[in-house]
Amino acid sequence: MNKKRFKLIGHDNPLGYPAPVLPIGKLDNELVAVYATDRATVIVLEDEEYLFIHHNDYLRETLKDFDYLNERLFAFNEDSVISYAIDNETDYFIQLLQDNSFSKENPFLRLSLAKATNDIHLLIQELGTSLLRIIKLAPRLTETWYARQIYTLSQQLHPLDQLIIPETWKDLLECINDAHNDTEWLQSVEQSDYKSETEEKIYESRTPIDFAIITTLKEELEIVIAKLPNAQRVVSGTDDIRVYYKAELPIVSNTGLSSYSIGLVSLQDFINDKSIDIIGDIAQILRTHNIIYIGTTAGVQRNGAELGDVIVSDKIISYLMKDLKVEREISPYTINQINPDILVSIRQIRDSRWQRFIKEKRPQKGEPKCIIGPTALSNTLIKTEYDLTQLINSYNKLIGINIDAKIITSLSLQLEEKINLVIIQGISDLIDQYKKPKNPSSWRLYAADVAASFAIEILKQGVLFPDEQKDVAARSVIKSSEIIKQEERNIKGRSELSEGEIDHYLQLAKTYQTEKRYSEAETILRKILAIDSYEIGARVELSKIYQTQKKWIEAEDMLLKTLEIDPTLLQVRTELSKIYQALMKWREAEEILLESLRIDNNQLHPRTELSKIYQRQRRWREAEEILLELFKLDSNNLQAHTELSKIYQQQKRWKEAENILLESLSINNLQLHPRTELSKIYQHQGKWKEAEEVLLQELAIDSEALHPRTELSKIYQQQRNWKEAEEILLESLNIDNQQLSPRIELSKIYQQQRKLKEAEDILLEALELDPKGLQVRFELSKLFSKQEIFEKALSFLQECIAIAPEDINSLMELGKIYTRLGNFIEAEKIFKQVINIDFDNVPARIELASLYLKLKRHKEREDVLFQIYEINPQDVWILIALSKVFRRFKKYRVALHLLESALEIRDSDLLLVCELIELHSILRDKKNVEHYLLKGRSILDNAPYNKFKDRFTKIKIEFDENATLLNLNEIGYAFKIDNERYIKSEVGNNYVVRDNTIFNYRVGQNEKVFFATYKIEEEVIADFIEPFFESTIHLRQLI
Amino acid sequence: MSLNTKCLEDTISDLPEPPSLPLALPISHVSIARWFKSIAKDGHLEPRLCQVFGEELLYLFYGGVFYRPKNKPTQNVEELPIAFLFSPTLLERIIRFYPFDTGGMASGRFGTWSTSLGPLMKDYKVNGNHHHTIPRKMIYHIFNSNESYLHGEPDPNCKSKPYPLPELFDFYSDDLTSFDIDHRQCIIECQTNEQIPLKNELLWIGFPESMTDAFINICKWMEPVIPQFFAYESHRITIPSEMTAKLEEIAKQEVINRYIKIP
Repeated sequence: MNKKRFKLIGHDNPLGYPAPVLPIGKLDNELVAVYATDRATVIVLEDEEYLFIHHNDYLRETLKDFDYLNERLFAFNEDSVISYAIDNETDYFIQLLQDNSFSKENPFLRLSLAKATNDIHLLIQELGTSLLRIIKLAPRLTETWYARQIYTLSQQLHPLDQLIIPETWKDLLECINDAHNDTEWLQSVEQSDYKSETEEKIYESRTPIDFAIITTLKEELEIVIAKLPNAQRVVSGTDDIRVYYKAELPIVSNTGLSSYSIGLVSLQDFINDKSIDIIGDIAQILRTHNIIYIGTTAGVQRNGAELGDVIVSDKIISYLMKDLKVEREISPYTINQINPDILVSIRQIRDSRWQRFIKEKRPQKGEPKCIIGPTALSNTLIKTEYDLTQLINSYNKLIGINIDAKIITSLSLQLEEKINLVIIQGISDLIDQYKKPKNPSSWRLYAADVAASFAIEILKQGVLFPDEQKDVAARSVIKSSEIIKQEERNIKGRSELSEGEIDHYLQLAKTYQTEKRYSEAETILRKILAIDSYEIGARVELSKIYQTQKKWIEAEDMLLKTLEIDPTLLQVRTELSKIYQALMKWREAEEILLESLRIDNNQLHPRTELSKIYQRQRRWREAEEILLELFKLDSNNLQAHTELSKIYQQQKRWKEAENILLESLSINNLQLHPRTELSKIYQHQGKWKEAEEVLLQELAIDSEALHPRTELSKIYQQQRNWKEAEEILLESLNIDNQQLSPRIELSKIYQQQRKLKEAEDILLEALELDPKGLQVRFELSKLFSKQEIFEKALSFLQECIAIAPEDINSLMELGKIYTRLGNFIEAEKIFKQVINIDFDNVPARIELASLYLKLKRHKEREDVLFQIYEINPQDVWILIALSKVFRRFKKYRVALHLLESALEIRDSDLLLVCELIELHSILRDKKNVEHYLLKGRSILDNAPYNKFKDRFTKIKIEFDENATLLNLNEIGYAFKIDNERYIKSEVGNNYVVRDNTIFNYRVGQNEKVFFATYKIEEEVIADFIEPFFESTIHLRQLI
Repeated sequence: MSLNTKCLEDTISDLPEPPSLPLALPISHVSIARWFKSIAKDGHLEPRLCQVFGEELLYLFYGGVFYRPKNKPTQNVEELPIAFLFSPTLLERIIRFYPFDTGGMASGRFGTWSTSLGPLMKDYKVNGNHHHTIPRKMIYHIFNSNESYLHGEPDPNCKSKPYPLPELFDFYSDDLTSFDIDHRQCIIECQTNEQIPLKNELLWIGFPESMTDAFINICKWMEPVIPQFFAYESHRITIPSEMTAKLEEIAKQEVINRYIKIP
């Protein structure tokens, strides 16, 4: 097909210059505009009089080959228009942004371009610059603007990159500015005029910096400065240093964004300095232990160095020409004492990304490469071939030789002082090539640029970390897919394994497991065991695969045989315990872990597992204690944090549960599990938005994560958003079709929609996947119980109990069905059985108490109630639960007493206050209602729960003798009049409350009532949304 | 020429008043990026001479950001949009409402409907009377609810109501997709001849990200309030109508839905 002939004649510029512009041209004699879609969309302009910028002759000539389908235009002004290939758009924008002076007056254009590059370094850099503009010009907007940026970027960026973007603008500021005192810096931002960015600033404070970059010549320094965002000249104001520059360089790690503060110095400014230790002086003045020397050097061609290459010294050889000898040979690990892996990390930089940042023109064709090797320092020129030969013979791997007496002496001193030193030099000359380059000075500038580009790139990639923490973060940034590729390369083409390669294979098998490629993992592990049947790691991993596949007998067998090989193996015991837990053999699981702790009492993992076992048995105190014991050994243990939170959740200690998870995330913000748990907490508290947000964060971290999808579905179910709830579960099943939980949740959704057949079908499908499983049977029993098909329900429950005779959930359900069927004797037997298994079990006692009420066995009933109280009279949760029991039996005074006791223990618990208000309301005790309202408000004065605060404060409790009070939990009360439910506004108007729906009322002067009501289990929650007004006067007040 | 003695305003006024009307919705105005800086500088929107009505008018739409692609106010090519969403309090400044895009009607965009309804445009005029209940009554009698309005679904009961509601129902129900008209054929146009200040009225704004400086200026006018906003990509010049559709969707999600998700 013939391509249509397009003639570019001008452009339209809706955004102001500089900016991308709209090409206008003639396409087969029709006037057209070319809009940027994925490629290009041409729109014919019907009116020839359209206004646009007509290109002058020069531009028409320059852009005569403009390819409208494959190119776009960018204009700096009316007469300066550049075309670039759509395929190279990213590179073009990067190139634009590398120029710090480009669009300096409009950081938002820069930000927009940076977003199009998806280059996280640039994006952070431009986000920071734009943030400064916002802070300066519209500080009130900062929070909103940044939140919007985060939201937008969360839609655009790869999840891993999203993690790098700081969550709050303050975090970004801190990252940019972590070398400065925040307050002082913020003040300086507020006071500075953006028009005077280029002006010198005087910094009196001497906060330490991360790195000093030192060059020999000023022009080398300028090359480095041009590559750093916002480098500023600093005059110290004192005599101890002449002049230097400071810059903040955003860097990335998998724990988020960080930045380096960098001081930049040229030794030329110290030309008259008499000190023999210039570099030491600089390090002291800038308060840093990390120095990067960037410069140019002569390369040794016979050892692979070429003009324009960059060399990184791994050893430094100082020598004296008169008496040539290797004076000192320093291993790279001694040089880089803080981070011994620096050179290893640098070696990992295999891509050529850094080459894009070179701005100087290369004098000859070719591409620079990086070489790591020993370099020599001398105080004298090498004058003869003999000297050179002698030197190279003395150290035959030498790749570069530098000559600067001051540096030699000073560097020697630094090495003795154990300063972290990295030397990166571009090759501007070749020591062993006597035919010198035609234009050595041009090679010098290019070489300096090459060295600077490489140095900045390794800094940006977070390779050089000034402290241990950053180092750990950097090293852990290895994606599993990369590991797989690496390991697959290692064993490619080999049919047999050798012993020496077992580690490789083991690593590969583990990686396969994380990728859920179990059969490949199993094959590898079996190969390992064929070579070494005693290889413990392989046995444990194989057992893990069997556990995943629910091949419990094989998994147990594998581990027991391993223990026969070595009975002291602790990890094997822990794994065995997991198998017993899966089989609900709690005693066996507990015993093997306790035995493991007897062998080594300092272990962490068995304690976490023990806690899980205790939790399953509802032995909350023991579960908590074992974790607190673990914290004494390792206060940062992440898993223990999550488990402790689960215990608190079970006890409805929401705040503690939330705090412990937030603490865990502050240790490592990339975790998924704590987020799932946080979401559960928020769900329990009806904080749907927070719950959803935290799960979406989780999906941003791991887009394939399954748990957050299940939890999100639960949230949507709560909001009766069945479609979304179903969709997210189907999405989850698309990712992993072998899951049970999404099927169980889907069944619940179908039940809610009365699609009982679908509900049953999906559960039966789950049962096929897990034919021996307990959970699906339990759900099926509930489904049939709900439909009053008790025969089937009982049948499934009996199967459950056959699988796990002590499963409390199944037993409780069985007891409840017997109660419903009027088989009280069997029901009583079952509830007592539950209490036998779990002595502290409150729900079983409550059921028993209810049963006794039906049977009019009052004495036994009260005994049970007091048993509950005796279990733990100081436990707030039990006090509340018991108060509810008494309340249910209309023993309000006892319930009040229990709640008051609970409030004595936890005197700022707002829920308790609400409970008390409700009870006093029921008792028509106005005085106490007022008392607890006041108390509630005083708690709220210091509480951060704004939404809750709204709920609490907007509703005024009033009484109507004819009203039946309904429990609206936190918000206060509602009551029935003529079979309608009402809520009373502040000025005494009644408004109808509908369950499970949203409604609003337009009210009179000063009234603010607007609720959504919904049910959480048995409780009806009314949620304050926002004030709404009929009158336009009131609408204005909203703004 | 209309043989009917009644017009939409009379019909709506004569129909029985419901116990409660649908809530008042925000109203929108779509301008172009080229004018954004001057609007931000002035702090208000200015009426401009309208060739259809021959007077200085500012056009707004009720309940959402609706675009008028073929009714361009300049001779420029289609331009990147700036979308403003205003508080319903602004309804008090509206002098008249129409149940369709008058520009589209006048320029023949609605096919045969432009021919049949165009000449009868005055029959469809509803005076604003500086009162916010007018568009709500229109919504109630024509669409029954805000949701139906925003879904472009007229109330079938219109068929049995007096002139011109049956005609309006037929117009709304006709498939005009061949004329590149989507649900926006069911929109209520608002006209004012007053300046519209941004302060106290602007709820939300959509603009190109590279023009954030202008938005900052708007924030200064709005002090102490910060309007909601959406800054769209500005590294390339995309098709304006597509961008406006995106702004319509975002404005709906972020603002309008708050007004309609209420039974």
